[in-house]
Amino acid sequence: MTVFGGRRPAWRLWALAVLAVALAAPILVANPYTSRLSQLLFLNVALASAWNLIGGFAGQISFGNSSLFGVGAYATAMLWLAGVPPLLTMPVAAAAAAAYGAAWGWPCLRLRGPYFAIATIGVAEATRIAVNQFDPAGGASGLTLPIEQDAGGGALYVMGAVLALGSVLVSDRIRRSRLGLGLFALREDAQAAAASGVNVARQQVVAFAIAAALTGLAGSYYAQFTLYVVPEKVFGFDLSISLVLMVLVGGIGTVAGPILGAAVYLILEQFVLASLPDIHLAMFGLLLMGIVLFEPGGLAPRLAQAGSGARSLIRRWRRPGGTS
Amino acid sequence: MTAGVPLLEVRGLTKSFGGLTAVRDVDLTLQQDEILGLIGPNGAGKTTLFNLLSGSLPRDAGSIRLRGREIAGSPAHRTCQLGLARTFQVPRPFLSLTVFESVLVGASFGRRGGGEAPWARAERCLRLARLLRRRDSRVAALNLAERKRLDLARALATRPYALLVDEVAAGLNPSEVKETVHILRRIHEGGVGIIYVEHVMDAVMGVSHRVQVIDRGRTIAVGSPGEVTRNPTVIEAYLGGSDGGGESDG
Ligand SMILES: Nc1ncnc2c1ncn2[C@@H]1O[C@H](COP(=O)(O)OP(=O)(O)O)[C@@H](O)[C@H]1O
Ligand SMILES: [Mg+2]
Repeated sequence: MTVFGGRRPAWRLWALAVLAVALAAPILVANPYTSRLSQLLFLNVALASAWNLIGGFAGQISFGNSSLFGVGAYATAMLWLAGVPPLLTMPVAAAAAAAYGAAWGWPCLRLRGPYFAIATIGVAEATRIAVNQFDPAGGASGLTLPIEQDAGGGALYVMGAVLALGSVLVSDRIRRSRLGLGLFALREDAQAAAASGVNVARQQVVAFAIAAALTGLAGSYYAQFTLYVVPEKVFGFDLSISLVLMVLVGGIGTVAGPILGAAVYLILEQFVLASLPDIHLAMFGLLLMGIVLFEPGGLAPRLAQAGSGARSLIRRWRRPGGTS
Repeated sequence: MTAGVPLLEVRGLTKSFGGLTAVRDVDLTLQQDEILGLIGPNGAGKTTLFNLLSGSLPRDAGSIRLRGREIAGSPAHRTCQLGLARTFQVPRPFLSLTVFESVLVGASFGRRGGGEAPWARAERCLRLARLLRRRDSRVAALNLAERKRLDLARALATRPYALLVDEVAAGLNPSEVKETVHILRRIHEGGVGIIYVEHVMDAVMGVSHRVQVIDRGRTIAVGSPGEVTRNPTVIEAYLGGSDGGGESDG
């Protein structure tokens, strides 16, 4: 990837994305099914983009992001039940998840590769089991939230869109920043990065805390549209795995990959869930195997290639002879 | 900076790996604006010495002073930020980055100050290392000589006072060696002190002001290039080393 190569005016893309989301809103929100789908898409885009900050940019594959998601979801649920307006619980959810992420990321990120991955599984499972036992948070049966009066879906749609676009924007900014450069360097060679002045431990923890804050926000959002949080779901291993799959399928280490992977995942999930519940992860695993075998970089780089191919075709078609 | 203080002053540096003492009670002084050659047979402990100086490996004993300041015990990134940078015997490129981005890492994370934007310093270092043409190439596309020069450019971009260069001419053809030595001279003219580990004798003897010889972790000679090449202990160490083939136990 080219860290500082993105000279194309990014605002145009952003304007387009915001416009598309806004135009789609009335159609999507009108119908409860499509309204739900758009919420899930926003959720997955945010989660996958956040995961990619540490998994893609820093090359540290986490199977433990559910622990951060769950903290965000529970922070919102518990505060809401205590009388705090849900919107005001969101910063708390982000901060709590960031703090929790930094707390366990600090020791675990000293490990690399499979050792880090295994450590994240341990942390996430321990967290899930602990919450299961924690009666003030409802224990294994979780917490049910009050149904909102003005639950037309419009507010949740806007909130989800801001969350998803915001996560992608953060990811894009980090990619072009000093932090991003340090992450790419330490992903390629931690010792050489350190010899070039990169504080490997700190860069990773900072990136992880940002990812955790976004994941916690996503958890808070999830609590607000499902109105039900339960450890098996929000702290579940399935959730962690699905993020890894989304990003690998979409294109790890890229900004567009998580968006693409989240969309493919959602489509497949809906498609398969209708006919064969509970095997969508297996289906996705098969898709992943195919991608690893035939398109190891994921879908995004291939699509970008196809896109630039099409663009140059169009250019040639517009200006026969290619004079400039 | 007082004139009398050496750029780098090492006393009693020691490191063992299990039973093997790879660096044993080494003293070393790099003067301001000096190129110090560091030679010795394979396995003598040169790279280990660099790993200790750069904070890549913890030392067992000894002191390391950079411009009078004790830096022993500092982690690698801190050592770099304090102004002691290194290259690697086998280049360690950031494979998925471009040439410019790689050098920008050094320019962005190295010693602070200088009043120059990181990208401007990165370009300057690339020009000096004759890699400006390759600015936007992927590092993975570079050949060995280019990768060695990239390591140099990346280290130089961190604004070091002193630079540790490990076998930057090894494996290069004669014209590439000449070019690399020229680059070392240019770096030195820019006010950077250099410790230069090298097996290519023409290169290291031609460019060094003084040469220190180590064998089995100990210093066996220090002097001008001429003195060192005539030193019987040195000649014996090299002959013994090459006669011994792969033997490194002792
Ligand atoms: N990380 C390590 N663990 C164990 N032994 C090592 C390690 N690094 C170097 N050595 C040993 O230390 C000795 C010195 O190695 P090195 O510093 O690479 O020598 P040189 O660079 O002079 O050829 C060798 O015998 C080598 O096998
Ligand atoms: Mg060596």
